[in-house]
Amino acid sequence: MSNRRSRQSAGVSTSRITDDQIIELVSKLQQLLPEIRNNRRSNKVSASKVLQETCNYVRSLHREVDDLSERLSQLLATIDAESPEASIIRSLIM
Amino acid sequence: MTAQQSPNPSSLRTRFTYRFLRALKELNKHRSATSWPSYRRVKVAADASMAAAVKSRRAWTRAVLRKIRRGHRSPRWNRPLATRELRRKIRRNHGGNPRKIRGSHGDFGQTNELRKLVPGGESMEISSLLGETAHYIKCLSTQVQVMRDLVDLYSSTPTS
Repeated sequence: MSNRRSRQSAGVSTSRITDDQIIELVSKLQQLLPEIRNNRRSNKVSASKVLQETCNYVRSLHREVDDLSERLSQLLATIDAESPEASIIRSLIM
Repeated sequence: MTAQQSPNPSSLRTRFTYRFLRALKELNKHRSATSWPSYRRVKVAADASMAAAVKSRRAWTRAVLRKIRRGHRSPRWNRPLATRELRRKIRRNHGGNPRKIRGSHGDFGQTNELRKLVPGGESMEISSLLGETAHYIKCLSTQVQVMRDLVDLYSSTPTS
């Protein structure tokens, strides 16, 4: 998708992105991570730790999606999807 | 992330749910005709529904939609790759810019791992990657919540 040439120029402009931007984005990520949010003692969580936790969290979300897809596919096989449709929508959305 | 229980018809959760339910209905209709593993189809339906609900506003959704469109062209999901495709796949996954991989920005060695986890992450700049990751996490959480609700609901619905 991206060729070598464009990646090289991306490397040059990457160095111009300010530390402040990175810090802001990292703290944004921090807000989303349940583990770090709950254990917050000081505002100083290293970016490295945030990235680590982020990877772990995304992986766990992927696993959940896989597991839930598995269960849903089994459940689909056993029910008639037509009739509960309206009530499902109603109970989830309302 | 708290679940939105408001009846907002245009919320991400609502948009995703409608699409996903429609997709599940379609899957159920055609399930006897297919030889594809159905767990995978549910997962793809979920990922596709979320990406479609967000639309192409995000780099990660564009990557997901691209991948799905590519996948639809091949008759089977897991067919063995031809040599040329295999070479292309290897080049794509391991041919990254060494400058990026070595991490010219100190403690961002973990970004490589993150790049693999976020759709389209391989070719993003670091600042985009972080922003995309934040949005991706938000959407994945919503997706998981809705799927969990559906599993609970289907589990308790009496079979016809």
